[in-house]
Amino acid sequence: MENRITLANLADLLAKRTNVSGTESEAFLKSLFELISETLSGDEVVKIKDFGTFKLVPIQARESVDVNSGEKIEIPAHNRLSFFPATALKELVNKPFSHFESILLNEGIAFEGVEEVIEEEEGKTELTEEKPIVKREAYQEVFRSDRMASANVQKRSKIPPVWIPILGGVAIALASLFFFIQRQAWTQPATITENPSVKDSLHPFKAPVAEKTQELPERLEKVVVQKGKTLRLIAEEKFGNREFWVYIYLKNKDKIENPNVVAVGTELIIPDSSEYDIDASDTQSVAKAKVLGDDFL
Amino acid sequence: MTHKELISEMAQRLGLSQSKVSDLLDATVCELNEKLSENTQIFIPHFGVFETRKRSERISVNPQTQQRYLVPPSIVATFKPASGIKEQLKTMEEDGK
Repeated sequence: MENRITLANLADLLAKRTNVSGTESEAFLKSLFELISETLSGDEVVKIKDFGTFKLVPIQARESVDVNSGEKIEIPAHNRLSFFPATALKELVNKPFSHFESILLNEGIAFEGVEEVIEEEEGKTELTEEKPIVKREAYQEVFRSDRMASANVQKRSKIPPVWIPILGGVAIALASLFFFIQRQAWTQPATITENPSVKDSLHPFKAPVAEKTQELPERLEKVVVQKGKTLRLIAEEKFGNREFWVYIYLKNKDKIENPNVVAVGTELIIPDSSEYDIDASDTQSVAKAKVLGDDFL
Repeated sequence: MTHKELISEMAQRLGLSQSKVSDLLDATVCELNEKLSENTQIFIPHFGVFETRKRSERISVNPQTQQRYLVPPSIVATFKPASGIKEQLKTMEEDGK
């Protein structure tokens, strides 16, 4: 696909489409554009159906600065030839972006690199943490298609890669959400289990579910291995994921000969989850434990 | 000058029937629109260049309600007049003064 065609190419295409000779179509086009410019010289608008309107727009005299000398100059009043595409042409050309619609923005939402049209609004454009994620996603959508379209649009305007800080913002928001949930669950059962080490050693597997997944920061929890229990099962009960068995093994290495077979009655120390970064909701933490565990098997 | 006036003027100049000119003009418009939607530049000597440009997204503020809208990017058809015709129209204005 050539990106630039001239009058001659256009004449060829026209000749093919309408079954007239090449010379005839070229003559037609030449006279068409001649007539348009002539009509415009008479200060008249030219309207072509489904294409657009050519119009002379008066420009008022204004002051400017000479680019070379830096002197002030006055640009005299003049006319500018403008073309206003018809709706049909507008829609046709904008087809790749036609699914976009204007979005109403809430107060305090702003995007880097997006021009604000009214100056006074500039002060409110600081990026805030509390941005609704929905809006951000919509914006990212815009950007994705933007990049997609840039393959087609040869002269694209410069856009800073705003989506990087936005993705970062989403990550931070998710991280703080996890942290918040973690903390909430953390403080609650600590008051219920007043003497966890004693209680747990007596009824190691009858503790409530919420308690089992908790880490107990002050004193280390102990578990007596019962029949049919494996390190993996204990890890699942204590940490919410069986991959964390390796940390129990590491903590009790001196008592365990073979991590696959743990003798009944062995008293195991359950490590504090903060000691090994144990977090069942964090896939990275799980993956790390898995890799570590595979080393011992 | 409207579409109809343009056709009749063209018919007179070229010595063709109005319906023929109308067909040719429609075909020309079709061809131009098609090429423009393919992001092709159309260069017409002594007249100008038709091309498409991408307008990037922007935030527009309604001054009355202070509501802010994120206006999506769009592709628009533009026309850049050739320098010859620009000068011609400028001087025409000065002569008219």
